[in-house]
Amino acid sequence: MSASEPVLFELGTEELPARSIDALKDALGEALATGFRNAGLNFGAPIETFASVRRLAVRIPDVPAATVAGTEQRKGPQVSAAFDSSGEPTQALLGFARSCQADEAQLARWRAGEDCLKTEKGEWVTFEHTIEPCACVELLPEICKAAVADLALEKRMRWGVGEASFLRPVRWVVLLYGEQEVPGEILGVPSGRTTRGHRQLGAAQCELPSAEAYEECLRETGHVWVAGRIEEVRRQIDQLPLNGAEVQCSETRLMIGCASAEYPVVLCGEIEAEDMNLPPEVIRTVLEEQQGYFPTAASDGALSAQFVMVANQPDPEGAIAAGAARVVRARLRDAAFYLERDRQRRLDEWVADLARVTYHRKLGTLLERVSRLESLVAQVAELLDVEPDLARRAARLCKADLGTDLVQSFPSLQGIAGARYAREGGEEEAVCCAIREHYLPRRADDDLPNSAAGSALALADRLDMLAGVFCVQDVPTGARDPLGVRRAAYGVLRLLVERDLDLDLKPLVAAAVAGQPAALHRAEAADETLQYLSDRMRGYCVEQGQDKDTIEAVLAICSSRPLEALQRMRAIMQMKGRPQMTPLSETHKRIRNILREAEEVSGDVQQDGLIEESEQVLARCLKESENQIQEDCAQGRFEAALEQLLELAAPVAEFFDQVLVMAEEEQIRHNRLRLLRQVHEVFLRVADFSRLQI
Amino acid sequence: MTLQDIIRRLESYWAQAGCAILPAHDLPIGAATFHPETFLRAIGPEPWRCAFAQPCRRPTDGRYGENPNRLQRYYQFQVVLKPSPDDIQEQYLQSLVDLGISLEQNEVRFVEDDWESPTLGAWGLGWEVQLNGMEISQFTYFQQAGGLECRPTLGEITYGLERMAMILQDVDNVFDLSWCEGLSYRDLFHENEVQHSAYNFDQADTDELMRQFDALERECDRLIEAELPLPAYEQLVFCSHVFNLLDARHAISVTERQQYILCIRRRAQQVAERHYASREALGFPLAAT
Repeated sequence: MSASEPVLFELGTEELPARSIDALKDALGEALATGFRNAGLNFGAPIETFASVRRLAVRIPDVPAATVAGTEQRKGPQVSAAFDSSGEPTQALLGFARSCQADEAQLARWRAGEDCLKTEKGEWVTFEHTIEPCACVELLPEICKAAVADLALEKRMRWGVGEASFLRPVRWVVLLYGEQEVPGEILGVPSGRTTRGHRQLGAAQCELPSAEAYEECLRETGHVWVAGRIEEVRRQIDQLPLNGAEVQCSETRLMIGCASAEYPVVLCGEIEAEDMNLPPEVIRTVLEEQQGYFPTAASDGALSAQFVMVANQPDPEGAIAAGAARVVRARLRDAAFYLERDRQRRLDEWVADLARVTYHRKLGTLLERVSRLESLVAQVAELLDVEPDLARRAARLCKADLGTDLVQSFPSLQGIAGARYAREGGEEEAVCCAIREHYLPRRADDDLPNSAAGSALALADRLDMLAGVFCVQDVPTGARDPLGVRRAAYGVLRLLVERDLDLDLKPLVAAAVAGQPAALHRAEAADETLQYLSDRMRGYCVEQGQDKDTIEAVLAICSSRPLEALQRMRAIMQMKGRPQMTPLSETHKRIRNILREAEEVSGDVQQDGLIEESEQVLARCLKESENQIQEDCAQGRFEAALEQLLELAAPVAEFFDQVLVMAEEEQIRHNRLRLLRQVHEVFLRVADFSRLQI
Repeated sequence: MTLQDIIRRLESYWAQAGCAILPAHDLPIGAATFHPETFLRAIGPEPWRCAFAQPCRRPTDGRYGENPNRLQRYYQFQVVLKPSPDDIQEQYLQSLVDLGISLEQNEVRFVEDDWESPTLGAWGLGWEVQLNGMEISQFTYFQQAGGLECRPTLGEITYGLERMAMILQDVDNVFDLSWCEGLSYRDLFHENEVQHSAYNFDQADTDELMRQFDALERECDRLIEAELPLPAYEQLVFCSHVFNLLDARHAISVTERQQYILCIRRRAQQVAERHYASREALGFPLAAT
């Protein structure tokens, strides 16, 4: 046997979730590499990972037959805790000695102060451990077992009578060192050299001659591609006769499509001409979301009749493609049936039905919610330069499609169906657009509305929901959030910030709360809603790359204008590296502390009461910069305002050097406190710098 | 192959695999999982193998008999194997072959589909099985039932009989299926779909249903107290059906839904615990052999 050989580990399972396979094989590779390192087993690079829907595998190259002999220093108790006052070894030391199998001679050496580790933090007894070389094949089963146990799985399940758990039942395990079979047991399954081929095409049992031969053997006798499926599928797609149409699939969908086939065969199905008249969004939903197939489209983006799928075996009789086309047809006919029924009424005729749908036990029916949206959106619309009547119309219609058969059966088409029905009913384009867009963003990474009316309605929709749940105190706790309140709050922030809408949430939240059923009004609801939004703002700003202290410094003075708050934070983050920022923050802290501890003083600074030159200079500088700072802030020029503040640093420092704020004489003291409060207030126009940690 | 033949074929296949072939449950249930021979047998250490054809009711899925694919009452063929055998997938695939489905010419896929019944406090991992893209079965390894860990694990295979028959008979409309020689699915059930859809969506008296729900719930509690988990479970199963009817009438909001579900789940857990205790008191009679 040569000095080093590759190790192959394969975990054979029942069908794994296709979307998890790629990440899992990488995680298994890393877990094994860590296990090898911890066991002192060297290995070559690169580690190769393989997977199919029924297996995860890792091959580790150039693994030596045994670990290297050596020594390892183990750290015991602190020397001070090793011997008691009479010089006898403590229980702590005796325990350590036992675990090291140390003898009397070793104890004597420790007593003599030998074999110690001295650091700045203290002194510890140590033990030199001799590491015997250990055969690789002895270590492998445990390393693999630990690596599998360490995998972070979304869910685990048990099967049969066993207690072992994994993502799906494990049915076979291969563990090879070069050509050598390594006996062991992983998750209750004994390891060997037998893998399994493709369910229909391959040999039920494939004997692997060696770790090296893994993928080739599986390909040849197993008819399983454990690597290179995506490239193979791309190659097959390129050869499809699509008459110039392009296959449309995201990387994720392609990855999932390829992961679910052990022997990928790209097939084409055809949508019948009659069904191509259906709205493209319906066809896409059926193909992509429901079936995992890929649509094709002409260069102008129009959907073509052909769709593409990755099958797990050849289709000699055409039954697979025909079956796929049949399912697509059935689903599309379903949709056509619903569309036809839905179209027997105009969209606005569906609105009245919302009176029968309960939105929330206390917050009433969906129709009542729609009425609230109509009045709230009008207020939002004015701020966004949207014609209020147009926004009201969109609000009136925006939930109407929830009762339609199409949306009942294809929930992901909510809004999309409504927009289409509205258009067919002759509504204005901006109204249709707003109906579709008001659901955006649906997820954290989703698109935002593009139209102003869409943004206005999206905001009103979310603010009404938030105000409602705070009025009835049905705020989400833990994972329970049936209405999606967290998502709604996050949506509000993203809309304002990323659509550049510099709005103050305070009046809007007040309006939203006022719109709730009168019986539910609670004085605190508006403040609680704002507080909730401001709390979500913290998380959002962290995601936007702002430091925590910067966020606190700004939210302390500007919590209800998300866009402005973020602009302020960005300005501070820009300046944070400057040397003057530290004194600015410290000065603000100092002023704050003084004002907190000193007596309350009202009124303005009396100019003639300023006796020292440094206070006069500070008052003058303050007066000069105050207006400028105010002007800069009003114009959103926060960096300029910050520059101005930095200019104040010198006179403030001079002031603190030269005068004693807490002077004996009350008049002088009060005047100085007034001056400091004025400085504090000017600082607060930009942010609460005392909260910065720099 | 007629629908009747499919049921017979499956019964004889699974009988040979050691399953008791049982009658359907005699109360309206939403899925064969609610059959006591599934749900209650999932609890405790006793091994269990049975199979049965079960009519299931999903009031919201009714379409007045106008939709070629949707029914408010349809048929499942249920197979329950506990502990789940190591070759359960192979046994299932063989049952398809036994029905005359060539696995060389047709593609069978196991697509991730984890199952959870919030009302029963039960969940499991498994797949929906697709035949050439069409879902024909659900396959689940039960992990919990009534909040109790399933030890050993129960394997549940649920065939969608109409779906399978539509493929085997090459029919696009469920009502065109042949139940047996000379009798179509339309002959048998179309009018039932029309009338029950009218009841589910338009006629069901929601106030009365709410009262029924409350009454069933109270009765269930009383029977749990009386240590009678089997009749308590019947009340619960009916409760769940009443809930589904209320749902079809849009009488329950998103938030209330949660309350109703928790209500049923809490009782399902109590029933499960009592049932476990009563089997234990009997010495788990099926476990010994």
